[in-house]
Amino acid sequence: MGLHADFVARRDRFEVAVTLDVADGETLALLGPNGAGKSTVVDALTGTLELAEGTIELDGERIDLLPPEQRPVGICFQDDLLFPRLSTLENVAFPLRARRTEKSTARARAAELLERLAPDVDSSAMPGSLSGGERQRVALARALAAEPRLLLLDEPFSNVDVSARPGLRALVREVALGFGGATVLIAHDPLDALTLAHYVTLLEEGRQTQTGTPEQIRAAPRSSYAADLVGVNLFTGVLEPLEDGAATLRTADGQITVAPEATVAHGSQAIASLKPIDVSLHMTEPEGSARNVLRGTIAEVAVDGDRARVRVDTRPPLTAEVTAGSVARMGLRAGDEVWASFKAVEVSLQIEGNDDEAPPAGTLGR
Amino acid sequence: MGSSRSPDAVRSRTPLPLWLLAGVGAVFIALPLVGLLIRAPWTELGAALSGVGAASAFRLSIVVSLVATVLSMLLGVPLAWILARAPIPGRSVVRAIVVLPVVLPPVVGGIGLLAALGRGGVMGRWLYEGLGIQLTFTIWGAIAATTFVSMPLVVLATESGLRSIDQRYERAAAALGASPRYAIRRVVLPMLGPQLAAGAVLAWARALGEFGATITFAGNLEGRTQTLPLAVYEARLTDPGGAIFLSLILVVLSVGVLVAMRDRITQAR
Repeated sequence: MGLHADFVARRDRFEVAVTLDVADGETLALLGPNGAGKSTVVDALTGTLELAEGTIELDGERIDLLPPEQRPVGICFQDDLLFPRLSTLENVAFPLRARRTEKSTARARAAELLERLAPDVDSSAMPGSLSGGERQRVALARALAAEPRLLLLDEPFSNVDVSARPGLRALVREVALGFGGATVLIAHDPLDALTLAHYVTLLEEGRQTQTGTPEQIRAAPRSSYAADLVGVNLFTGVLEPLEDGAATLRTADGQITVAPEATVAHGSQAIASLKPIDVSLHMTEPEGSARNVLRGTIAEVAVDGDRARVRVDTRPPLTAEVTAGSVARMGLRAGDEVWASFKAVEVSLQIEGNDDEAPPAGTLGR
Repeated sequence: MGSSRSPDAVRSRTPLPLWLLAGVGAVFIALPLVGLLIRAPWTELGAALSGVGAASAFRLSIVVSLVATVLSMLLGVPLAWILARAPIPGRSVVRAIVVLPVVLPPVVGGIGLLAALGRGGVMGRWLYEGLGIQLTFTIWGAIAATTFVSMPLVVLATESGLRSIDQRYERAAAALGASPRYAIRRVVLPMLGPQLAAGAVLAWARALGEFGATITFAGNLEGRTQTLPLAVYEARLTDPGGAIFLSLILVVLSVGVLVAMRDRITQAR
C-alpha cells in the first residue's frame, strides 16, 4: 500500500502530468528546476488544485475527489507557513483541532511532538520570534500532528540558514525513515534528493523524464538536466582534519582530500559531492595543484552529443565529464588505465555532526 | 536613518517653508477648538445643557453610533471578504457601488434612503403595509442612515487587510485539515485583527459625526432621532451657548475615539 497517483493537473496554461508510486515507509524525491511544476504536483496532492484528469489513491482508496481538509495528508511547506497569530504549540495542534480532536488531547500530542522534533523551542513562543531552522522543525511537527498517511516535504531546507541545515537534514531523514506512510520530498537540491530518498523522479517542464533509485539515475542520467544536477559524484565517510586546514574524507572504498570551510572535528560524518565536470582525466600522472590524483581503469564511456561521461574505477570510483572531442583525442575506451584529478576546493561538503550514529549507508548505496 | 539621528539633526534639515505651512495647517485645525472653549458661556453650563436636551441627544448618539458600528461590521466584513476572495462577476462595479457613500454627500444618501425605505418608498411601502414597520422618524431610521455611511469604511479597511494577507496561509490551513470556516476563524481573522479594529473605529467615528443622511431620512425629533450633531444644528440659532456645549461634548467623544484607536492599534502589534 501507499501512494499511487497518476494524473494531469493544469494551472493557467501550464500542464503537469505525473505518475507517482510510493510504498509505505518509502521516500520518493521529486526533483526538478524552478518552474518544472513541482508546486503544481504538491497542490494537486493536497487538493488545493483540482486534477484535470486521473486519480490519486492512498492505501487503495481514491482521495482525489475529497476536499483538501479530508485528505490524510501532512505537509511541511517551503516557506514553513506557520500561522503567525498562533503560538508554536497551537500551530502544531492545528491539524488535530481542525479535525475536531479535543483541545487538551491535541495540545498534549503537540507538546510531545515538539519535545521530540524541536526540543529547544519554547512552545508558547510566536512563530515570528523563531529562527528559520526552528520554524521548519515546528512545521515538520505540525505536518506529523494528525498522523497522516502521506507526508509531503516541500523543499524543507530552502529557507533555512546553512548552519542549521545539517541538524535539520538529519531530523528529516529520521522522520522520513520512521514515518509509516508514504513520503514525497520535493527538492531542487540534488544532494537532498539523493541522500534522503529511496527513489528519485525528475520533473522537467511538467513531464517526468526519469525515475529510479538514486544509484540508477546517477549511473545513467538520461537527460542533460539529470546529468548536470544528479550525475554528481557522492562520497560519504568520516573526516580527519589535516594540519593545513584541509581534511581527508575516508569512505568505505577509498579516500579523498577535501577543503572544509571551517575547522572540523576528528571523526565528523560527512557527505561530499563533486561535479563530474570538475574531474580531469589524464593518460599520464598529472603534475599540478590538484590535491586529489587517483589512478584507475575506465569502466564505461557514455557519449551524449558533444559531451561524454566517463566512469573510472578509482578508489573511490569517480565519474568525469569531458568533451566528446577529448574522448576521441585521448582515445578513451573502457579498460584503459587513466589518472583522474580534481581540486580539494571543488568538493562541496555537508558535515553531519560528530555523533555515533552512522549515516544510513543504505540510503546512499541503494 | 531616522532612528540613528537626533531630532535636532533632523529638524535642521527640514526646509523653513515646510515649517511655516505645517504651522498654518495646525493652527487652522486647532483654532475652532480654541474658539469653542473661549466662547462657551461656562457660567450657564447647567441651564444651557438641560435647555438643549443634551442628555437625550448624548444617549441617542452613543446608542445609534454603537449599533451602526456593530451592523457595519456584521455586514461589511463578509462583504469585504466576498470582494477580496470570491470569484464574482463585475467585482469593480460592485465595489464602486458599495463604497459610494464615502464620496456621496450624505444628504443624497438620505434622499435615496427615503425613496427606498421611506413609508412610500420602493421597499418601505411593502415594509409598512405588509409588516407595519416604519423606519422614518424612528431610532431605527437614524441607525439605518448611519450604517449607510459607516459600513463602506469597514469594507475598505477589511478588504485592504485581506488583500495584504498571503493566500497561501488559507491554502496551508486547508491542506492541514481545516475547513474553510475553521481556517477563517483560527488563521485569517486573527491575522486581520489590526485592520478589523481600524475599520470598527473609523466606522464609529464616522457614525458619531453623521448628520446629513440622518436628518434627511430619520428627521430631527428630540429623544427619537435627534443625535448630538442634529441637536447642535437645531440649537445654533436659538441657543448658541448650548450649541457650543453640545459641540464640546462631541469634541471630547471624538478625541476619545482617536485615543482608543491608537491604543487598539498599538495593542494589536
